[in-house]
Amino acid sequence: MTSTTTAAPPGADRGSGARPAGTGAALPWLHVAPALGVVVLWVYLPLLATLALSFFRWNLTGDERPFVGLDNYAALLGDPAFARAAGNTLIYALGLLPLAVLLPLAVAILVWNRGGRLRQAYRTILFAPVILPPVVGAVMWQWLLHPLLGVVNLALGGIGVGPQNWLGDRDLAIWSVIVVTGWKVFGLGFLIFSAALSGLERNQIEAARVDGATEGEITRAIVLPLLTPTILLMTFLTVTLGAQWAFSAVHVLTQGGPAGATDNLYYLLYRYAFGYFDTGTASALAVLVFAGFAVLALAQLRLTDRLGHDR
Amino acid sequence: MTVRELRATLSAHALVVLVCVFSALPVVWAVSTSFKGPAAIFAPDLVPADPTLDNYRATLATFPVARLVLNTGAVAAAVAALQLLLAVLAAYGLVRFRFRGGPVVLTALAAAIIVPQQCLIVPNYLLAAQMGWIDTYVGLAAPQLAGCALGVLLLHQHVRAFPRSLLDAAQIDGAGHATVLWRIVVPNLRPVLVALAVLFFITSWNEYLWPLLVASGTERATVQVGLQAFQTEQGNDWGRMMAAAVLVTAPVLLAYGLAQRWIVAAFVQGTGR
Repeated sequence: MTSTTTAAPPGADRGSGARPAGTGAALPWLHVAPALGVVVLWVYLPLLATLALSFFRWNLTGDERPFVGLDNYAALLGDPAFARAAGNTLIYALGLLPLAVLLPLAVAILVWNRGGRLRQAYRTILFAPVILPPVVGAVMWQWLLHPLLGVVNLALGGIGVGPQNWLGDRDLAIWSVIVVTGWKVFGLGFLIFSAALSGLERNQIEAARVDGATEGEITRAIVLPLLTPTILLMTFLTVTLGAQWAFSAVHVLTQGGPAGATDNLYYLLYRYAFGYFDTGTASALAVLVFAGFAVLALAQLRLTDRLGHDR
Repeated sequence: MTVRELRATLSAHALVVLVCVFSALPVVWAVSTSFKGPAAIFAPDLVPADPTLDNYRATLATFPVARLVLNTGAVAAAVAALQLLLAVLAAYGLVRFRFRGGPVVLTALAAAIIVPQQCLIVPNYLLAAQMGWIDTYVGLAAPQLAGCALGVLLLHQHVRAFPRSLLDAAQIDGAGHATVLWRIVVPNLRPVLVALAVLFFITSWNEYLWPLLVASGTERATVQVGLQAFQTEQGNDWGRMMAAAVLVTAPVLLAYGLAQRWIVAAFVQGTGR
């Protein structure tokens, strides 16, 4: 938003004031009601409904719906799948960082700095995975990673590495799903960093170059500090949303397996709700996920804010 | 250029090209595989030795590509248009009227953006079922409208940056709010609105979890749901599978090629940088 809000002319309105007389009190509400209405109907009411459902045992369609208090929460916390999914959620969030932040940052700087005439072509190719539907990408990756016929194993065989069961091996599977997810997220990170780079003032950098600074020094001393807010934003998005981004890949490639190795809280929630039709436990999990997510998002926002202001 | 610089530039290009291969490989390999016959599917050749259209013929016979693309496109277009309308109205209302509750509304919309979708699927499914919306276009589209909150937040900044004196002057000249909004604000925000429309369209096009729940039948299935169903049916026929994947990818890549500048701009503005 920075690029656009700073475009405001100097005397631009900050908040609004005087209205010509005669506008009814209902007029403002007529403008905001449609947007507010759909958000209340499809976000806030469902949140409350989820909270309510978490205290009942129900199979989504049956007539019996006994109140069970906190039983669903107890059942959930006693389910080893929950602990595993929670741990994996963390692995997704942190494991995606190299592909979502570090590599896109490095590649964006290289393309910006030394891309030359190929800059536009690079950007076109590197961003393309973002617009491909996730399931389409996942299906294509499934073929690349096929244990017997996949080109990845064929290529590795060429350099003497034996075939790996990328999606079937308990230790490998989650990293395969992370790479497939990261393949898409990389493009987004690359684009965001490229946009931030093209917004930088060239003067300071040119001056440093004239003074004899090397590209490495310029990157470290000028470019990276200027990019700090963008780096923090991308880190924030990845840590907060990483496990959600992985959903389609998990669903297509592993369904959470083998033996829960690629499960995460969001996928577990889906399975409780529409695999086991255990509406109560799914809702209890949704409540916990939402609470944890809100705390994490707020904490990160505050941290990002503080780090951003120090610069 | 010194030797050192040349070496640095070359290694930079080498790394970037390597990453490009990583980005393009799934699509390139899918295209390659889709033209290979059953015997050649094992071969690691990028260009098939004996290319065939059999996979496409067989796939088109059972895989309703046109239907899936039309379903997804129609829903995405409707969702994007409605989201844009809701967002424009709300953003204008929040900026141009000072009213009790305005700030609360803005906060409520902003907070809605971060609620994980998975946390809402059970009640949303129940509501859609109660309304008789399962396997309907309306059911597919309705909950997605809540995504307009992001648009309100973005547009709010732009409407606020609008010179107030200009809008006030128009109103003193007798223009009502409708005129100011549609004749002055909207035309001036056209680039932002186009970007937002593209962002909304792509977001809806790539929506997966909700269509999976409410539109699993072929009649209303979206591209991703349809492709996954085809995968379940076809099992291990990778030639056909890749033909299907290429068929649904083609319109996306074509649109990307044609409207690349807008699409990139949409993501740059939509993601906040």
